[in-house]
Amino acid sequence: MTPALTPISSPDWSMLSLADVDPFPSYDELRRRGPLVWDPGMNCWLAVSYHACKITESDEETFRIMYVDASPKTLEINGGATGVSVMTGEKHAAMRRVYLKLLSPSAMTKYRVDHVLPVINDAIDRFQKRGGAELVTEYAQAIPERVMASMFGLPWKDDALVTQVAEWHKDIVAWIGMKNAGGELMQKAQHASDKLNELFLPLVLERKDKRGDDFISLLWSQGEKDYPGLGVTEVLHNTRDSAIGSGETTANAIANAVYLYLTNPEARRAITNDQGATLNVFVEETLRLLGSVQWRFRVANHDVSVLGVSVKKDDVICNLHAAANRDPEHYSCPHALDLTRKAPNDHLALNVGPRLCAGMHFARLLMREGMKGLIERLPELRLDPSMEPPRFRNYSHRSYGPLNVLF
Amino acid sequence: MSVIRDAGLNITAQCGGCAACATCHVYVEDEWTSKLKPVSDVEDAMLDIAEERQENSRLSCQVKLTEDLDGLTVRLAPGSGF
Repeated sequence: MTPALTPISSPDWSMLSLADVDPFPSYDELRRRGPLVWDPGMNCWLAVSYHACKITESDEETFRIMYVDASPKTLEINGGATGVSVMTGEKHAAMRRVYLKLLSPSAMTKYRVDHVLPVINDAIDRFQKRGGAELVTEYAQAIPERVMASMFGLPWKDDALVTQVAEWHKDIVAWIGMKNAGGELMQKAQHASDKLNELFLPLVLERKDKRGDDFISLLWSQGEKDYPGLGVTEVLHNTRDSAIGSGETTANAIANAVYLYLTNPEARRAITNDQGATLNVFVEETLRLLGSVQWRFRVANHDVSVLGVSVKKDDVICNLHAAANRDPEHYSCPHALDLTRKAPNDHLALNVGPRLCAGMHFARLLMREGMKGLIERLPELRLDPSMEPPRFRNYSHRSYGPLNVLF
Repeated sequence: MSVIRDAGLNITAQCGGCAACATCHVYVEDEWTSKLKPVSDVEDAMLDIAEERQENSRLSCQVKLTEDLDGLTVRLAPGSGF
């Protein structure tokens, strides 16, 4: 029996059958089997309840990240062993504080003016006169790719360079999303990693002695204050980490925000009228309802019971945030876009616990400003009914697309 | 932190209560500061990230409410709002 034909009630069913299809009805079905369900295809537990995800991500003593067990080669492909996303313990906490200082709410004002608004306005300039565009590739993906190039002091209007960097990151993300599997995915990721190191290492070396206000220089300067023993290796690894962490993840989130804006007239009216607090809630609801990264892995350090489910030492748990963020035990009307939620940022899209996304304020900035740009400059924006309708695409990192629009 | 959030006040508190984000920063009213447990090294390091840290700054997620703290008054610090 193929995975696609296996009923979800069967222990043989696997989440692998949900690639490129709307997963949410299946998540609801899955939740009826329990807070954690074994997936034979993924060879791990699927944590589908909000509380199960929160428990496992908040307790690093009991549940480790997969990179603790990773080979040096795996860490190298991911960006490097001293990247914030793969380190643990005190070193992780220290490097995380470097990021939190560089990406604090107060730092957003300068990034907005210097990097974000120029990129957003340029992106709209490129297609505004055409009267139509495909907003996933021309907007949602373009914004974080070019903004990060600008942040790194790269020529962000060099489309060939920016596109190539994005392709390399996609190859690595695809490999990460499948638990760093071997084979062709790993080969492509290795090639991408080598190329990214070739691009970034000269910049890291140059800015060690010649500091500017680019993000690599800032990593050097803040890291020297707050991270003992910071050197070329640490700055390179964290340049790589910040580049991949802010690219495809934010692109998917922007695309999902645009999709909800285009398909929810009431919410559209509300955020058009209030591009402050209401838009902020809309961004959080986008993250909760559709997210970007659909899950995160953890590994049990010892036998443990999670909400009554026995998890064995070294079992892998896939914290299925996309399902947990619609858990009816935690949210009323979980499938509804609700701009009046009491605690709108109480979702797991940016993780929770000690590994909460260190770039969360920056991701929100890009989403909010991305929406403001469309609202202000393309008031007649609408989906093109003659083109392929958007659907919730891909697997581990998802967004609605294509977004063919007229304006 | 959870009491502030449950009351519907505007607090980010994104990490969920493990002193990992500094988005639940509050100022404790003077008469209460001595009644709280001292700031730990972890909280202290994270408070350095918070905007406009003061002598009476605390991360509200690190304040465990007890009967002795009945009546505790804090003010939300800049940058803690959502």
